[in-house]
Amino acid sequence: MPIAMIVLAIVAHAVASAQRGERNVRVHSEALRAQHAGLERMTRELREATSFQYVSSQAVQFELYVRRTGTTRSIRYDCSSASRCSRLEGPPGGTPTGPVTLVDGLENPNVFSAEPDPLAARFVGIVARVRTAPNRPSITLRDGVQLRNLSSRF
Amino acid sequence: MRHRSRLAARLTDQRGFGIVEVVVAAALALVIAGSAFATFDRSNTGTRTAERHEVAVSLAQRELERLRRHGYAALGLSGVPASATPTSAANPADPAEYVSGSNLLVRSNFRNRSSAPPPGVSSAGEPFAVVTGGIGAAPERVTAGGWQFDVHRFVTWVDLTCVVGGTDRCAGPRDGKRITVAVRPVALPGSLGMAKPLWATSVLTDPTAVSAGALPPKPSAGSAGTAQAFHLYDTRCNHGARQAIGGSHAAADTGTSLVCADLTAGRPDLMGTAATTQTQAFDFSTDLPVARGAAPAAGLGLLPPEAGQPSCPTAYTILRAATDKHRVHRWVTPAMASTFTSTDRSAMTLWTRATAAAAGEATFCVSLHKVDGLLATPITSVTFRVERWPQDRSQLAFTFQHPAFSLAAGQRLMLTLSLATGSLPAGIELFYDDPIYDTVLSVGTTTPLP
Repeated sequence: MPIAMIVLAIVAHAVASAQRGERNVRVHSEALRAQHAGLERMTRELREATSFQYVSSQAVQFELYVRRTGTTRSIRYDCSSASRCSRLEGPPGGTPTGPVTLVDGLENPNVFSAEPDPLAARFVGIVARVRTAPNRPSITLRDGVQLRNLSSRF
Repeated sequence: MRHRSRLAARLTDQRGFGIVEVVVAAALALVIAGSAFATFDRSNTGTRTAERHEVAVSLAQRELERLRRHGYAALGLSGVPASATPTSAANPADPAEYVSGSNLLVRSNFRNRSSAPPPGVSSAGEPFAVVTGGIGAAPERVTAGGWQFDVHRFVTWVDLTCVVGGTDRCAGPRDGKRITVAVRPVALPGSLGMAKPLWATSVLTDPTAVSAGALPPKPSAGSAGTAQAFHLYDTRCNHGARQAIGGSHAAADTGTSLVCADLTAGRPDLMGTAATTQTQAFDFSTDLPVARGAAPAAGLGLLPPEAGQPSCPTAYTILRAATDKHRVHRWVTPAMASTFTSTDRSAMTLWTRATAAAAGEATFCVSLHKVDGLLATPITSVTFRVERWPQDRSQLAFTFQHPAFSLAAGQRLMLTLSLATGSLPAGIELFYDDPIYDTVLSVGTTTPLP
């Protein structure tokens, strides 16, 4: 009987531990998917950019044509806050407003890179080092986009 | 009463367990524990496999994007990739198994070599697009997310069919290029085993090809100029070109004189149009009066101004040279041979980290001056604030606007770097004059230098 109880206790502990691990992995995976979705949105919109301005490693601004409405919008990605990347939108030439958080838990200041040169960017690299939970190691998400629709620079 | 006496009898019973009971219990325990651990191990392996697959997908997408940026004309391989002996038609392990002579066997399902090709593609595959200076045909080993992968890149010609009014407007067999990327995980000791490669493809059409009746490509609005890069050197400005670096040294006094010919004065360093090919990791501030931590000290140490000093200093007197040479560093171009005209936009790209890996904010100051003999005329001063200055060596960049300027023949452009008050007390380290860790001032210009 005591041996059976010990075995049961070990199994119960293992099951509880596995459940805890699974929950942690699920939370981490969902958080990561959310960050990845933010990154995807950035690359998708950047690919459509018709004009582009590299502001800094922490901010880019560009214009894109929205087919659905037939209008041009000015978009700014700003990652200069300590821990997040925000998306702001406005009319061309106007001040973009309404920040929407795209990436949270950001740790690195060097998010955007431009090739061959910040003044003449044709390719924009994006690196986001994010921490999904305080007790987990940070994860680096990388992506890049060729500015194929560029017709002018600011 | 009877229950109590039975319980008391059990508690005082000295007989213990029989050997059969113990063996059965132990066997049961072993079976339960064994199956539980096998389940956990499988679950763990599954999780790690999924994680590796996710990294491979991300890597494949990144490679596709990287290859696209070569531009249509320059996109191609440097040669025909090597083929491999097929192992299994149903589940080939090596992407090279799809190389057949000078063709790539393009399949709708790359996990099965005998599956049908996509519509419009011959079962013999597509010929490789080989161009001068193309992408290397051999696979490249890449580390990402703690895993290792062999990345195979293929570029092939695509024969498109675009029938308009019964006529194929896409004449000829080379209407577009297909980029195919295969990412094959590498088995590492103590890690997951080899897995089947992950495939991703994308087709690019010739942007200059315009079929009859179609709209011409949108004309480029052009740009207001090009970027003229000035690479920062660890060379004094009395030289006309970069000099090879001999080793680490104390910080140079670059802030007390504008006369490059005066070898006794604190003349600026040189910046020039050619990037260095000399790989080095020297310390340009061996006398920096702050602890630089355990990390290998290298590059130039830049300290913030002392209390009471102005923020973002651009020069100092000879009396303060010993201390302020760590707070201001200046570079000049060689004297211009002909008129150099800028646009109104420039960029600074720098490799940097916080000294001693300190955490905190820093504001980086950039000033441009036009230098004519002993006279320095300010062009602009800008700052770049970063809430968390990188603790590891990282590349930062920013663009800034300034009034357009012209440098006449004989004049120089001077760059001054410093920190604003309130920046990290131990300052930052700046890396330059290295093929990889190359700090560059890019000036928009309509008259690029030869």
